Amino acid sequence: MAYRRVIKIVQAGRRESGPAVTAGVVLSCGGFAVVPAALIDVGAGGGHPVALALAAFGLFAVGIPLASYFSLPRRMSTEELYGSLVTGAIAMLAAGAAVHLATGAVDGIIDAVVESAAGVSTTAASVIADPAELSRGEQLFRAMLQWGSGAVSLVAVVRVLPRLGIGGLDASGGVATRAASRMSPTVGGNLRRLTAIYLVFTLAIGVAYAAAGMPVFDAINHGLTVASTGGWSTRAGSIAAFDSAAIEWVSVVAMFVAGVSLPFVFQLLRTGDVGLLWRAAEFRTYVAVCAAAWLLLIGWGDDWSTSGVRLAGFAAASAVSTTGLVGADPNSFGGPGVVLLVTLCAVGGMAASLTGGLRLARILVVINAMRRELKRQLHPRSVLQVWVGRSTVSDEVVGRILGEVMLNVLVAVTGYLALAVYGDDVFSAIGSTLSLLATAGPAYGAELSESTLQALPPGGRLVAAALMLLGRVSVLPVLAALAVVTKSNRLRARRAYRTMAGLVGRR
Amino acid sequence: MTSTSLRSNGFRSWVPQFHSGTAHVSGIALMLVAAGMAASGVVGFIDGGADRGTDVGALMGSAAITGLIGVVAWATSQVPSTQRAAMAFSAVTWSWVAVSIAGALPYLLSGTFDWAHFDDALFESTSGFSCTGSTVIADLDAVPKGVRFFRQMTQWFGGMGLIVLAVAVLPALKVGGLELIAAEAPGPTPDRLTPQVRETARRLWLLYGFVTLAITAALMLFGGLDLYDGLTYAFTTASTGGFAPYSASAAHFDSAMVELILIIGMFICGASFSWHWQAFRGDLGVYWRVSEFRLYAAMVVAAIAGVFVLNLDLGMSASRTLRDAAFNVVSVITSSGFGTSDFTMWGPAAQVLLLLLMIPAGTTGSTSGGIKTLRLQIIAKFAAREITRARHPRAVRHLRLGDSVISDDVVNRAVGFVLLYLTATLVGGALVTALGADPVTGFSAATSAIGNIGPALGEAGPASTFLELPRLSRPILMVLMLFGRLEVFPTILAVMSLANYLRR
Repeated sequence: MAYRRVIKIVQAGRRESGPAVTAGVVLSCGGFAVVPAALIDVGAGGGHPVALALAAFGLFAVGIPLASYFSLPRRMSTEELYGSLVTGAIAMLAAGAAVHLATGAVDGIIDAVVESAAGVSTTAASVIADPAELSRGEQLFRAMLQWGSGAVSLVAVVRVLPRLGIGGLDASGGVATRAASRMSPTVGGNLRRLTAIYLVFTLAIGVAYAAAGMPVFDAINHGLTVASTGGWSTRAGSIAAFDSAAIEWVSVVAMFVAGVSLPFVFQLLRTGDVGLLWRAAEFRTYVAVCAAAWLLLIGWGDDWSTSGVRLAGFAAASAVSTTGLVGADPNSFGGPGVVLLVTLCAVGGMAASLTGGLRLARILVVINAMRRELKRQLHPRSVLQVWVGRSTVSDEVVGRILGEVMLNVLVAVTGYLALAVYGDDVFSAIGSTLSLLATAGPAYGAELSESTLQALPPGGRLVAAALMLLGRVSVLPVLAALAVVTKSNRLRARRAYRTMAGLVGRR
Repeated sequence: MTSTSLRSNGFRSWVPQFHSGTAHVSGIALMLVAAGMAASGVVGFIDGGADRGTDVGALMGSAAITGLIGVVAWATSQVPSTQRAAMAFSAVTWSWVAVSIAGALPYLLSGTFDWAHFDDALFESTSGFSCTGSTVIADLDAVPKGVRFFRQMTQWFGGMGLIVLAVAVLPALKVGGLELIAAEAPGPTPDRLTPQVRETARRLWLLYGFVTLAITAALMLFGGLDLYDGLTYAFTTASTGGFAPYSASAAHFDSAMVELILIIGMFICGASFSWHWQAFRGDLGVYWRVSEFRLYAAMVVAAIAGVFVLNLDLGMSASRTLRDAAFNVVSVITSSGFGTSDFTMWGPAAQVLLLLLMIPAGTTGSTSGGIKTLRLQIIAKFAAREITRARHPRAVRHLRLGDSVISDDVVNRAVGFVLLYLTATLVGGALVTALGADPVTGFSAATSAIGNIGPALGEAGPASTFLELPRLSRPILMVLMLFGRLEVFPTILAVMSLANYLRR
C-alpha cells in the first residue's frame, strides 16, 4: 500500500522529470532516516538531537517539494533512467554529507562528502578513526545510510541491471540468458518481493548477532550494514573488536549469503527446490570460489587452529561479498593471501546481489567469450555462441558485458595512477583502488588495512570517493549519464570550433 | 616422385618424410639459429680474449648440434597442405620452443650456467628470442664475448621473427606462408607490403637489416662506439629487446649522445615497419595519416612529461631528470628494457606510470611487445560505443579508425586478445606471488614478461636480475614471454592441440 501511495504522489506533479523525482524521494527518505537517529540521541540523553532534527527538516524541505512538483514519467528512456540513478546517488551523497556536517562528526566539507560517499557506496572505509566516539544517533544514521543505499540498489537490480545485460531478474542468478525467468510480471511486484527478502535478511542478521552475544544496538547496526554489504561497524576494530567466535561465525554466514543473488534466494525459498543450488551455474561457481579461497587462506595463514580456520573464512567471505568487515589483519595471510583477497573483491558476488565488484556472472561470460575467440582462431567462419551453464548468451549481451568490463579496467587503471600520486607505495595503491572500486573498503596491502581513507590527503580522498561511487552505481550508467550532461556542451564547443575555423578560413 | 620434385627437394627426396609442419618449420628455424651461433663463434674467434677457446668451442659445438637437429627435422618432414590455421599455430609455437632450447646450449657449453641450472640457461635464451631482455646472469661482463654476441643476436632474430625470415628465404614454405606470418607477426591482422607473402617477408627483413645497420653506423659515428659495441647495441635496439653486452646496460657508456641515438632507434622500431617501408619509398606523410602512430607518439610525449614532473623532487638536475625520464619511458613503452637508472627508486606514481606503459607498448607491425596501441584504440572505441549503446540500445554503430570501419571480426579478436592477455598476466602474477615473490615484484614481473619488456618493479628492477625471484617462478615467466611474443592465441592453441593429440 505504501508503495502505491508513493507512486501516486510522485505521479501527481506538474512537470515530468525522472531525475528530479528520484532526487526528491531520496532526500525525503534521507529525512526519514534521520528521525530515528535524532530520537535515539534524545533517548540516550547525549549526542546532537537538535542538529539531527534540523538536518531532517532541511532534507524534507528540499525533498518533498521536489518530489511533489515533478512527476515520474510513465515511460522512462534509458538516458533518463541512468540520469535518475546518478541523480539519486548524488542526492543521497548530499543528504549524508549534510547530516555529517550538521552533527560535526567530520571536519570540513571534503571529509563530509567522502564519508557520505563511503556510506552511499556501501564501502567499509571511513575518515572517522573511532566510530565508538560518535553518538548513538550518528552511529545509527551511518548504518541506515548504508542500508538505504542497499535498498536503492534493489531498484537498480530491477530496473538498471537488466539493461546492462547482467540479468538482475534472472531467478537462477545467472546472466540475462535466454533461459532467464522473472520473479514477477510487474516491476512493482519484483520490487516488493526483493524488499521483503532484504528486510527479512536484515532482521535475521540482527537477531543472529544478538543471539551470539552482541549488544542489541550494535546488533541492529551490524544487521543493517552487513545486509547491505556496507561493512561499517560501531567499533574501531570492526568485528574483531568484539573478540567473539560466535559473532565471527554469524558474520561469515551472513556475508556469504549477502553475496548470493536475491532473485535466486527468492526462487529457492518459494519453490523449495534444492536442486536449484546445483543447477545454477553462477551459484556453483560462487560456492567453488568461496571454498577455494577459504582453503588457500587457511594454507597461507599457516594457522590450522579453529580460530585460524574461522578467520580465513571470515576474510574470504568479507572480500567476496565486498562487505569489508575486518576479523584479522589481511597481511597475516602473506603476500599471496592479500593478492587473493584483492582479487576476490574485484570479482565480487553473484549478479543481482548487493555486492560490488565485477560479479561472477560477468566473469563467466568473459571466460566463455575468451573460449569462443580461441575457437574462432581455428575456425574463423564458424558460428559460435557463448554459453553459461545450459543457456546461451546473446551477442548483444556479451558485447555489453565486455564493454562494461573494459570500462571498469580503464577506470581502475586511472584510479590506480591517481591514488599512486597520493600514496606511499605501489602495491597498496592497487589494493586500495580495487578495494574501493569494488566497494569493499579495506586497504589491502597497506600497513593498516582499516585506514584506507585516513591515510590519504584530501585530494586522494576525493579520488577514493569517486572510485567508490563509480563502483556502486556501475561505471556504464555513470559514464552514459555524463555523456548526456556533456552532450550539449560538446555540441556547443563543436559549433564554436566550426565558426572559428570558418573565420580563420575566410581570412 | 616426378623429376621436378626430385630436383626441387634435392637430397630430401632420398629420405622418408612424414607430414609435420611443426617439425619442418622448427627444422628451418634451428638451421637459422645454428648459422647465428656459427657467426657468433667467428666473432668470438676474432674479438675473443683469454677465454677464446671455450667461447669458440661452445658456439661452434652448439651450432653443430643445433644445425644437425635442424637438418634432420627439416629433411624428414614436409608441410601438409591442409589444416592451415591449426598447423601454423602449432608450427610457430613449437619452433619458438625449439630455438629457445637450442639457444640455451652456448650458455651451458661455455660454462655461463652449469648443467644443474639448465632452467636458467633456458630462461636467458627464451628472454633473448622473445625480445624480453630479462636476465639471470649475475655478472655479464665475465661471459665470453662471442657468447654475449650470440645473446644479442638471439634478440635480433626474435625481433622480426625467425618464421618471417624463413618465409622470406625458403620457397618451400609458401604453403601456409601467410598463416605462419600471421601467427608470428604482432597485431590483429598481418600487413602485406606486396601481394606476394614471400616478397613481403623479404622486404621486412631487408628494412630491418637496414635499420640495424643505420643504428650501428650512428652509434659508431656519433657515439664513438667500436664495431662490436655498435652492432650488439643495434641488434637489441632494432629488435626492441633491451639486452646489453655489459652489466650496466645502456649506462655503460654514460653518454648522452649514445642514449639519444638509442632513444631514437627504439622509438622508430616501436613503430610499424610497414609505415617505415612506405616512408622509405617517399611517402613521409604516412606517419601523420595513421591515427595509431599519432597516439603512440602522443603517449610517449605525455609519459615523458608525466615522469619528468613526478621526478622533479628526486633531487637531480632538471636536465638529468628529463634525460632519465625520456630514456626510461621510451625504453619501457617500446618494450626494449634498456636501463640507465634504477626506476624502482622513483616515487610510486612514476613507477605505476611505467608499469602501465608496459601494457600497450609499441604499435602493430613493430618489433615491440605488449597489447599494441591499435588494440588500445579499438578497446577504447569499443568501450565508448557501449556507453552510446547504453543510451541508445537499438542504435547500429560501427567502430571507425580514421576513415575506415573496423570489422566486427577484428574488434572481437582484439577484445578477446586483450582479455586473454590480461588474464594471463593476472594468473602469472598470482602464481609468481604464490611461489614467494612479493606482490609488486610478482605482478610487475608477469606484466614485464608477457609484454616482453625486461626489467620490472620491486626486486626485479633494472639494477638487479631475475635471480631475485624464486627459481620455480621463472618457468612461468618463460611461458609468459612466449605468450607475449606470439600474441597469446598461437601458444594456447598449440598447447590445446597437443593436449588433444595426447588424448587421442
